[in-house]
Amino acid sequence: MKRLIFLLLLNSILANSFGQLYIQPSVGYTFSSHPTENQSSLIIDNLKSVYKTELKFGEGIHFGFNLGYCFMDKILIELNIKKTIYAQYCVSTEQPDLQSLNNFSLSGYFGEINNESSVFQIAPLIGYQVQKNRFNSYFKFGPNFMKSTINQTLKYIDWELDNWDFYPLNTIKKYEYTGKFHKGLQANLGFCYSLNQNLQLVLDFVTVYNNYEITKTEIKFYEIDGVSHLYELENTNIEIDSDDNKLNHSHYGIIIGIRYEFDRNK
Amino acid sequence: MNRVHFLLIVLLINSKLLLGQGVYFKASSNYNISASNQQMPEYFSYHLSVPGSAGTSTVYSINLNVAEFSIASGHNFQGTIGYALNDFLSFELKFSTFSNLKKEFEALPQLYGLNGKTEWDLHYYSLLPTVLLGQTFNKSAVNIFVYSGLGLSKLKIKASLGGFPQDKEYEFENSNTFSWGYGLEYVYVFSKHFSLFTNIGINNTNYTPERAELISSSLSMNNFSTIEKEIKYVDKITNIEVDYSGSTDSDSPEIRLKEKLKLNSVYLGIGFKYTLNK
Repeated sequence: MKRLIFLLLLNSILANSFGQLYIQPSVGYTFSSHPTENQSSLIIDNLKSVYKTELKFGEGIHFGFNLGYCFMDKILIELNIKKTIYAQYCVSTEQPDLQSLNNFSLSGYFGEINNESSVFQIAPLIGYQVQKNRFNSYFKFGPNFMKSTINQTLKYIDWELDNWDFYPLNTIKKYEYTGKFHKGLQANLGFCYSLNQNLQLVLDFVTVYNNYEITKTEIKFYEIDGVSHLYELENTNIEIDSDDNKLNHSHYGIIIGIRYEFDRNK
Repeated sequence: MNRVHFLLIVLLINSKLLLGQGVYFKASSNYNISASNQQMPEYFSYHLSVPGSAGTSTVYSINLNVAEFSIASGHNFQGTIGYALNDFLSFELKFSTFSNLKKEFEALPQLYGLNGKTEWDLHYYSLLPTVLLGQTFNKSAVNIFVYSGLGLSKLKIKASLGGFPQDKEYEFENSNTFSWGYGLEYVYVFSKHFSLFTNIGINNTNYTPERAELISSSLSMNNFSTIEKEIKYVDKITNIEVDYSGSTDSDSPEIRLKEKLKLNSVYLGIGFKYTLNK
């Protein structure tokens, strides 16, 4: 009974609020605003070089879908859903050939990192839009719920020291980092241009703050010189430090979309 | 010469009258709440020298790293001069100041390492050109605004370790600060000239220091060589000469890679607006 009353009330509000229901498919590119930086240092014959690599989480091409309701042409209530469709990149630090060196020291990671991440986001937003003729702009704000899966492939040379001689072990390790839905914040600034009574072209600038919490890390692949060593590992799950388990997925970017408003003629 | 002065005065009066049609001033106070933590920049390494027997001493490296680091929470005051072209479009130039509220950070516990504490004191002053798109009602108006601009920052970091009298304080040379953000503003008109407004928005500020200097220490400053007192931050470190311990020339500043301090916040503000003529 309560549910029925709620639905009738909601229906009455929607019918009398001079609002429009709208849908908006969109696509865009976002840049990581907080890449994870790692430094590696190499000293050869008293000459020091420091290399920096950046792992960019939240960066990539996204496909999105918005379902929203606009009250009195001003107030927006919206559910924004986004999914990464492409987020793949490679960073590397050139590996020194330790066999050919006599006087050296190094610290940090030297090798290649292939990173691929899949991010799914849901954001219930509330906003306000101002209108002038065929043009309007809006500001939307709300929580951002994110779920991310990161696949990282590390290709590097593990040096084995035997009788004061170094022997290269070509190593490939694949890690998978996952977490639950993690809450952050999202703010959008957008500009719309009415193409006709129902259709609008939307240019949306999105900013997301989400310092994503990793709850599980697993080694998926471990190979040395072409031979699998995964079976040698007692446990492929890596224990996560609860004080240091965040991968910052904060990002900003531009999304382009088409908004279709239903019942605009009313 | 007198004629030139006269013409200049006439021009000034004219332009003031013309500008007066849409010129306004605003003053506001904003409270910034940090929206995201960042990787703590490692602007310096903190070493502690502990005297041993027979005149020897051991140097320990202190861990200063904090996982949840952000100094984006704080107070922000803004003074604005604006010009309304019409009811829809306005331009503003904001002078903005910021000081961080959360200053102390205790390092994460680390095995076999001493954990230190840092105190971060940041102030920045920015000029922010702003565009406002608005809608006016009877006695109120709603504006959507977007801004970006440059400024100067002053940063001081103090590092310490409880119980050991070897505190160090570094001052960072004024460096450019880049800020951008956007938000929503609600204005309520009280009289012909006075309005009150409130706003909500996001702010992103980046600061990359280029030099730092040790300005105080609980030890005598004469004990420190140039490499211990000065730090230069560079984009690249490639083949710089070092000694057997990996250190550069002690009479030159220490060389480190540049690191960015990022301040991401959500802010709420309140202020008043004075319009010259309406």
